[in-house]
Amino acid sequence: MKKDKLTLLLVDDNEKFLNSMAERARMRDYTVLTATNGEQALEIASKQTVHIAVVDQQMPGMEGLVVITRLKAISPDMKTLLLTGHGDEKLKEATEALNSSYFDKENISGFWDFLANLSLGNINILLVDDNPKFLRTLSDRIKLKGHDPLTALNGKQALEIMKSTRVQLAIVDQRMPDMDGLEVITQLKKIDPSIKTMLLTGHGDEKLKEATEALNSAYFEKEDMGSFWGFFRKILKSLETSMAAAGMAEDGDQEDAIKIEDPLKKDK
Amino acid sequence: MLNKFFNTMNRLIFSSMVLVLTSPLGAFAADQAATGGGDKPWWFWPSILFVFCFVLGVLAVMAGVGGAVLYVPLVSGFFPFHIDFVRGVGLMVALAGALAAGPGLLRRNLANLRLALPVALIASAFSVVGAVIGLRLSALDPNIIQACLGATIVGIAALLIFSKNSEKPVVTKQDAIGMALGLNGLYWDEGARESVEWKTHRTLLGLFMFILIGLLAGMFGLGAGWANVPVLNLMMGVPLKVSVATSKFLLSITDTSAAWIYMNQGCVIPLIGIPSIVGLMLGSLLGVKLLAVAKPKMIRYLVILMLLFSGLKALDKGLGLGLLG
Amino acid sequence: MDEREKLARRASKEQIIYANILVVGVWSSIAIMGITYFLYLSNIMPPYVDLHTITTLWGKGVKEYLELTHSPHGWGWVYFLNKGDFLNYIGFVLLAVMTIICYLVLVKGYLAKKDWLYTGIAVLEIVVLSLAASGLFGSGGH
Repeated sequence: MKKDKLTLLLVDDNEKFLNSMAERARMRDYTVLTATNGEQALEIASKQTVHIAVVDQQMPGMEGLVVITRLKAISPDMKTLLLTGHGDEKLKEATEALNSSYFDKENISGFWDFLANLSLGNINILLVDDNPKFLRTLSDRIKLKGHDPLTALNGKQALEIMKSTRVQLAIVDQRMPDMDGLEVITQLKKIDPSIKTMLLTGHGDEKLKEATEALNSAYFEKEDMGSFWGFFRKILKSLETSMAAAGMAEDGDQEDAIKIEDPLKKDK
Repeated sequence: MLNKFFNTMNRLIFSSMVLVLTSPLGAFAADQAATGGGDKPWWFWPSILFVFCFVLGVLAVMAGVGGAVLYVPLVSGFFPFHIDFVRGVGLMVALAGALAAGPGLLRRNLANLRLALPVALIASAFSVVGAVIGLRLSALDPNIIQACLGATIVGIAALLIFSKNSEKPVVTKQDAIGMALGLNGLYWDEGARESVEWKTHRTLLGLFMFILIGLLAGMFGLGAGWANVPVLNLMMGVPLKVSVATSKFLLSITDTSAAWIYMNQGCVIPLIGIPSIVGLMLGSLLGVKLLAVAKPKMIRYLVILMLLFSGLKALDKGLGLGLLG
Repeated sequence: MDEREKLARRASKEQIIYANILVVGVWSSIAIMGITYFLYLSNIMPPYVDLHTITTLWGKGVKEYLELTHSPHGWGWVYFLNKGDFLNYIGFVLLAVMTIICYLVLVKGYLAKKDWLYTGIAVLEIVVLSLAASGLFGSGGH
């Protein structure tokens, strides 16, 4: 009983690399489609079902990260890999990815991965901020809580994501060049009125604190099971983290212990 | 300000440790240990033990020396309990700490299961052997165990002073066994923001070392972090972060088997066991919070010194030299 | 988010389940220990061995201790769960048995992946731990 072949989309402006990757992929029994730029890739993805996309970051025109974001907007279940290396490095990256269980056919739907994580409920979080550094910091914090947040650099991207993925919580920066935060939130609520939103009006550390508070309160609200269990799980998680950090420190790795215990601490 | 509080706490702990070492209190405790301390109310020693373990937990985290290796020598040196019970409870304490640390490390993919499993199998099998031998020896004459423990502890203290861990060891070629077992991996280096690949070498030698580690852990009721990490890191070439996390995780397996042996022999007395376990865990929790604000270097030397002292004391007691009271 | 980061951070499903079982098990046993210890010390559940007696005997070797207190060894404590001191064994045993339970999850996972080598290693470990737990080795002394 042969399983259906998975469709792999390779995107790279370098035709030579594209072809050698395509060869390798076909040997691993994928159906391979290729594109030399972002626009082509998006066109292909909108017309056919693509299960996996391997995209080069360094491309003229639309860069890899943007291509991936747009691809995911079209098809949220698509597994994607961004190639950040160069030359041989890049080839190695891509080959490893193909070999790794990351693309394990049994786990192709990210849904089951999420289920394996006993986190505080399975909610989709969208972060909107024109500052990529802040986006990354906040995103890291959320990842530690066991979620994979979606990110957008402006209102337009946010709305695109909103159109294809069910988002339960959106954290939006007020100060943005194109569409300001308030406008974005209004638009988001037009698409889905039940979405919980938080507008960030502060700056720098203030802003981060605001965002963190929003997350914590939103969690409590989300726990319909009575926030007792949510609270309980939070305590367990905190104990787990502290003991893991203590374990690392005891056996000699204090740097990492501190990083585990307090991930937002600035490096000395 | 919170910082000031932590700084004063730091100094308090530091100075109190100095006091305990040098003051007549230490001598008193040792004296009590010698006479069996039977003239005190039943809650006296367990209460002191609880506080002692709490402080130990804080120090262990801040000094980077496992509470699991500090417990047996220190408690057997300062408290009136027989080495059998100290080892039994010591294993339980080490086990509890390792089991509590495990989930966080597994979830962050820091502890590597693939590396841990074969190593743990060897270590846990031999810790059973070590436990059985250890109990037979202490039944024969507890001084044998005291002396051996003392010598081992002195060795451990030396190891802790002199061994330099390697953050990212360079492994050029993986050996056959390592490849057969698939001992390699990828972890995320938060600091450098890059994913780091690693693989092992000298795997067979490393696996043999774990025979010895298991034996020692079982015989003396010690948690073997001080040995696991150098073997994984320096000998087998596993990056430090993964070594430490995997070591802690595999401790939980090694100590489980030895703990069962001691427990089945009746060496785990609840009166002593529970304050020790709970005390140490609470201490670790505090220690981790303090770690971010305190300067651990001094504490590390102090703790290693304490360990050395207790090792010499055990050696002295075991050999009946009576030099250290 | 960086895909390589995701790859490196990714813990296997079995690791996650192992972690979940452990965290619940460890903290439950700590909580249980707290309760049973209280019951023990407060004499709500009177112990088998008198508290003061212990203080006179804890300096002696374990065999002597067992003899003098007529305490059970091995799994004999199960019959004395209504005694305040042995009641505390529940917490200890829970801790000691955690790993065996978690390994069952690992075996299931390796079997599914058809990783025979690691299935074997995990099974062997369960055997070693179970043998140690059974009290076949060096229990009872001689």
